[in-house]
Amino acid sequence: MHSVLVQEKDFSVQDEWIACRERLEGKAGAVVSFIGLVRERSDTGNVSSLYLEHYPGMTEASIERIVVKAQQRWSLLDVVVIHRIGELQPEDQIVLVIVASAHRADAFAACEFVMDLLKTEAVFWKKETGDEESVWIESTLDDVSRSREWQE
Amino acid sequence: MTASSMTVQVKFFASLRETLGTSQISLTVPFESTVDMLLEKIQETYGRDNPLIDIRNVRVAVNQQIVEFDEAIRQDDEIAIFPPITGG
Repeated sequence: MHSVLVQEKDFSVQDEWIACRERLEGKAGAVVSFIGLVRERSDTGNVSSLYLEHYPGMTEASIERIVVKAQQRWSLLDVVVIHRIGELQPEDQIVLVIVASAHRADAFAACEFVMDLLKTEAVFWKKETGDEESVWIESTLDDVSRSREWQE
Repeated sequence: MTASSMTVQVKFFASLRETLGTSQISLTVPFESTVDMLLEKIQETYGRDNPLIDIRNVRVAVNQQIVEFDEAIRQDDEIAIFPPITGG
């Protein structure tokens, strides 16, 4: 069981959790969630806004592939991914990942795995606006190495 | 359009979309063209000396699948050209 959503509007962690909990019907023993936020500072300076562009259809499919990989690797009961697009400001929620499993080890590992792969394999382009200019950014080396570690 | 050519729609994303000032164009290319030939045509159209249109540093998707540059394109294919993805 899983769901992938790419949307402009904000999400409610509480609403998503309530819906997830109902779907689990008592089978889960562990749920791990991750919420990503827009930071007010990046490696290059202050961030006044972050713009996320996606390719409708292809982006959703790229996230589905990541979720399916996680489901093949661990025993999972539910995976929820909501990723926002468009113009975001510091403090805004940008991504939600919820992973449910019978035991906590699977949920912890799979949640981190999904997040690490989202940073490198999901089809998004990000543009950061700082104090003066807007720059299209690239995956950081740290993101790439974290993603690679799962392949070893 | 002649019998030996076809029209394809090409989408652009992110910095490439901004540089070219458009998110989608329609191009007429010969039948049995490859991605490489399409990129050549785009360079001709938009200027070879534009450093932001670095054809070797773009990714191409045909029908939403990343492809190599020797891939053949067909009429009605959904073609997209974009810089390397940044991830979420």
